[in-house]
Amino acid sequence: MGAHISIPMYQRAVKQRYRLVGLKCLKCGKINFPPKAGCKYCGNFDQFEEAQLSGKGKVYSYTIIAGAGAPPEFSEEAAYRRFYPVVLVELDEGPRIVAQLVDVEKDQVEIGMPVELVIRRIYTEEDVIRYGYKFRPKKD
Amino acid sequence: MAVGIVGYGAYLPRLRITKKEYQQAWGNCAAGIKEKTVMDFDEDALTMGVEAAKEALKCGINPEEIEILCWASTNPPYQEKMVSGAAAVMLGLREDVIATEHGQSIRAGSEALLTAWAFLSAGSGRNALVIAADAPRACPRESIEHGLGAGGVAYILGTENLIAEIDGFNSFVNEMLGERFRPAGDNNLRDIGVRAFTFASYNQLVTRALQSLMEKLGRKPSDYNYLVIQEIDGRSAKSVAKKLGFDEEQLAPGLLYEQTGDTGASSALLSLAAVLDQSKPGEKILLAAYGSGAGSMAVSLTVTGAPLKEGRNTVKKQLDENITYLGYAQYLQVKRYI
Ligand SMILES: [Zn+2]
Repeated sequence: MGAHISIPMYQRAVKQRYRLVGLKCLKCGKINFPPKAGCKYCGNFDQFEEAQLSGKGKVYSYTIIAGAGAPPEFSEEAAYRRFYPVVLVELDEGPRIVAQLVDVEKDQVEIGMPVELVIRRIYTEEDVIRYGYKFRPKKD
Repeated sequence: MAVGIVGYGAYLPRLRITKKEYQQAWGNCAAGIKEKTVMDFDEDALTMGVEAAKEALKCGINPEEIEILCWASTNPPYQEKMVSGAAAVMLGLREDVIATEHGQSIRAGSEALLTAWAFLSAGSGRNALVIAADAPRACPRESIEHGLGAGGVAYILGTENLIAEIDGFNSFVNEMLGERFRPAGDNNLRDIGVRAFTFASYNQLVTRALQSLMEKLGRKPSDYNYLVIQEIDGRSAKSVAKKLGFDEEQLAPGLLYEQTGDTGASSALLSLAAVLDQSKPGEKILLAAYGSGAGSMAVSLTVTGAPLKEGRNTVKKQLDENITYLGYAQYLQVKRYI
């Protein structure tokens, strides 16, 4: 977050960003998310298959970002929210990913809380809306 | 071959603003709401529609089994750019899904439902996904803005294990000037501020659709357990229902406007979801949708008895639980009015 991502780069990762599609390593069986050129766990470079992640996980750690500390593409949203939680989520399938946590007050965030994937607008640049994954406290 | 509803899901954003906030800010609230739903800063019609679709897909249909996708909104994320592709990627639908998009008026949700029904009836697929999501906008200085809410709803139509079967439908259009419209190139809804014009058009078209469908099916108001009429304000639906001889008990389960405001293209189908949430096998539902300018549609359904999923996220649950109230200044910010 915070770094400029060009439209072609965003386009290439649309399935990951919109639906958490990862790559399963066929050598060691672990799921890589976000997918990289080689398996993060065993270094395998060529044997993968696409894997749909469940979008369920737990908060592994978190931080609360104050509005003034937000990167420029988030400034309008940060001005409205004043504070927003960013969490490191450990997905049920293993990978840990950083995302915003929504539908929550800042004093309700806890390590270990179950969360679920939600697709929201991340930011808009060049009038192109960038949708992507966030998390919220798990319902039911 | 019977075609009908095999799954559905609603999505109401958790933010609300009350009538009182409008009264404090403007001296009055022009809409017959108690409170209304408001999208969060990072939500739009697409994200709400996708949430509703995910809830609907919990009926057990696999996203890859969806062969038809019909989308409806009067406020899609872009004025021109397809929405179906983004929705398909977010939901994991097939690339060769037959996709249609609707949005010229708030009747669009019901148009999408009937389009999907027609594709299935013609044998063009086995399962269709209908998504209607909307959050109408107007200038905050105009009284038409006071009643505008937000919401999404989705239906899976199919031919087996039906929750409700569609028995019949119709459509009426007529040229009606001066009510709700949005000029080309403008983001804000307008009207000419004459309620009598709006009601005359609504009354004429909705009444026509309902009467003519009952006639065609050989039914009368007392044959129906529920009546859903798309709510454009707090009273017009009640007034039409009463004139046609329906009673309050038939209408009440589908009345959402007081708690959501006008949810645009998703409105009539959200009301239908609220009715299905409490329906029992054998019951009959009559629905009328309306779009300004103007047109109407009526749809008749029979609840057929496939069991509803336990613990589902009902409309009532979303109306009453996990709500956050906004002040008027926050509302202006979150709507990007300021
Ligand atoms: Zn590996």
